Order: sequence, then structure tokens, then C-alpha cells
Amino acid sequence: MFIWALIAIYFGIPFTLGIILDPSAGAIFGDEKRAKELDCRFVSDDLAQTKVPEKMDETFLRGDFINKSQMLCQRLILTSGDRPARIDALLASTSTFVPDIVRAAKMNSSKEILWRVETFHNVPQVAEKISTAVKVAMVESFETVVDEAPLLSANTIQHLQGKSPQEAIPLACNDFAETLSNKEKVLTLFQFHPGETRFHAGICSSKGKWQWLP
Amino acid sequence: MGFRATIATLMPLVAGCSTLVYQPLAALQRPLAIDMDRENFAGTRILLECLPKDLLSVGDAQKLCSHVGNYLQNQGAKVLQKGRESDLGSEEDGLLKSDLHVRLSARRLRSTTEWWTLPLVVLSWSAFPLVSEDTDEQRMEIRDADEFLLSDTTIQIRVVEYTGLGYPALNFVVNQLFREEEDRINDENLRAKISRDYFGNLSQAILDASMRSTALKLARSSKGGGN
Repeated sequence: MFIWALIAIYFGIPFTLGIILDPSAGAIFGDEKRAKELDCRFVSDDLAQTKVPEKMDETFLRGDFINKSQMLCQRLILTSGDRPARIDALLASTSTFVPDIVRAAKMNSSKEILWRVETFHNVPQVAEKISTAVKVAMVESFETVVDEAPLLSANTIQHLQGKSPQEAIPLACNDFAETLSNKEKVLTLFQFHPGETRFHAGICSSKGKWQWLP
Repeated sequence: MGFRATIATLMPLVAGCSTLVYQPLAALQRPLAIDMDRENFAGTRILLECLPKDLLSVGDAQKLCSHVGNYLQNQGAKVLQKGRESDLGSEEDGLLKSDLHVRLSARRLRSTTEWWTLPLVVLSWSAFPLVSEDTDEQRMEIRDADEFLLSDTTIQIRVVEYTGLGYPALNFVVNQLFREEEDRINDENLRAKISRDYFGNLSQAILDASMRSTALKLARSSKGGGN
């Protein structure tokens, strides 16, 4: 009986710890919020060895005849609720749509262009972050970027109110064009719908020509 | 250990006395920008296809398409299910008359049961649970009317099942004492949370694809200008 108890304790404690430490919600005292703060995915042994070697047992070259799998979890820097979900989703997607926009802008322009970047969003801080991300990506692609963005005149702003982005942005291009030299272009970013998680873009040139980017 | 005690231990296992715990993986950590309470797809024509392979049997695929179709219609979309284009004459008519082609599929990535713990489970009279888990991948592929790929989203769902007497009993006590109604670990909340995450991510993917399609059409129409 004593031996069975020892066996139960020897296997039971790590087993219980495994249940308690399981990142799924509800493992004893966990909850869904805790689960959502962890970005978890199953990874191969090799990747786990690279990412967290201090937590991995030594693997034998010939294998150890046990099926093992590794779940790698990272705690999110900002937890849900720290900022509005809409803004969170948008900023989390910048690494996806910013390179697409920069690539499309380069492909649809000749070289030696001086770029200005303008982002339209009802939250100025978000617009600033997106503009900065695009400028950095363009500089890293060896494009020349001017830090100043063109301004819309008061008349134009009044004229554009009530219009959809598809109508308003090309009209704003006419206003921008008056301040641009022949070698300058404005890369303009905006959203068609407040619920989407990416920006779309177009190019405004000095002649007031507007070109949508794919 | 007596015969009757053994049966008493095994009965919860056999009867499926278990607690299911849901863990969203990977893409499900992404917040959603879409407002699910609005009619986000008013006027959008969607051709819906659920692939009966891997995790989805033919019946499951039909059920999935039925649920998703109803959900999208509640969001204002006009939904046509692939395979029912006879209403419009031909398969081509179905594609031509739709703005988006949504293709849904699912596959099982992992399925494990900790059978090696069975002696411990029996010795402890199922105070220690038998643990099994499934990790599934749900794929949402969205194309425009020209079959150009607009969006290809996958989400991963992990469900851990604790079978026995001890864990469900402990979970019941914790549910009653420490968890609010919506945070309780039970089958009803499990289904609600998986549905919320699935339909939320599907709606977000469709909205993004729809806006992308609009941008592509505008780009094609203005191609050749502006250098």
C-alpha cells in the first residue's frame, strides 16, 4: 500500500502540475482572459530548443521513444482592453499591409521620386503611427521620404464632408497637387470601412492625377 | 483494490463524465475590429462552399454551411450555397452572380490521449483525470468573382477533455464559488465561445476581403494613369 502511494505521488505531482500550468482557460483557477493573454502554438522540438533551450531536456540523437510535443506561449505585450479593439486590430496588422502598400507604390512609380505620406484616420495617434510605419518601410526600401505631409485647405475639408473615402480622397488630391513639385508624390492611406483591419492606398502626383493602388 | 471499487472508479470514465476546456490558439488572439451587431454585408452576394474532407463529413459540411449561411444572411448578405446553383441555372451563374466565394474547411492537427496515466487514474479512483486533447484548424478561403485569392485565414482551436470524477467535481465547485456565469467552464459556454470566435474571425475575414476586392477594382479601373 505504501509503495502504491509512493508511485501515485511520484507520478501524480508532475501530472497535477501539468494540469495547473496548462495555458488553457480553466485549468483549476485559470480563466479565458488568462488564456487570451497568451499567444500559444504547437512547435517542433527543434524550434523549441532554439527559442527556450533552458526549458528543454536534452534530446537524444536516436530518439527517446516517447511522443512529445511542445507548446510555446508568449505573453502579449498589451492585453485586450488596454486600447479599443478596433485600433488594436489595426495596429496588429501593420506588418501585413504596410509592406504590400510600399511594394505597390514602388511598382507604380518611376525612380527618384520624393515621397510624402498622408494617413487619414479619425484618431490622430493612429494616423501618426501608420504614417511612421510606412515612412520607415519606404526608407528601408531605399526610397526618399519627406517628413512633412501636405495640408488640406479649410475649403477642401468643408467640401469633402459627407463624402465616402472613395469620393473624397481623389478630390483631396487636387488640393495636394498645388503644393507638389514634379518629382514629388503623396502616398495617401485610408480605410473604406471602420471595421476593416487594413489600410488602402493611392498615389497623388503634382498634376492632380490620382491612382488607386492594388 | 476491490472489484466494486474498481467499477466505481471506471464508471465515470465509461459514462463520459468529463469537463471540456477551450483554448484559443494562434490567430484567435488577434482582436476583431468588426462590429458584430451591425449589418456588415448588406448587398454583398456570397457563394458559400464547405469542403467535406478531413474533419468535416458530408453531413457536417452541410450543417456548417447552413449555420454560416444563416449567420451571414443575418448580417445582410445574400448567400448562395455551392451545389445549389441549379436555382440559377448553372455553376457559372453562381460564381458570376456572387461578389465573394467563401470556402470553408477543417482538419485535425493533433489528437492525443494520455493513456499512460490510466493506472494513476484507476489508483486514485479518478481523482486524477484522464486527459485527452484535440487541436483543430479551421480554414477560411475567400476569393472574388474572378477566383482571385483575397484572403486565406486559418484559426486553431484546442479543446482539452478531463474525464473522471475529480476534475469535473473540482470544476463544479470552482464554477460556483469563483467564476461569473459567463466565465464558467461548461459545455454551453464552450460552444458559445467557439462560435463567437469562429464567426467573429469569419466576419472579419469576409469584410477585409470585400474591401480588398473594392480596392482592386478601383486599381484596375485607374491602371495606366498617374506617373
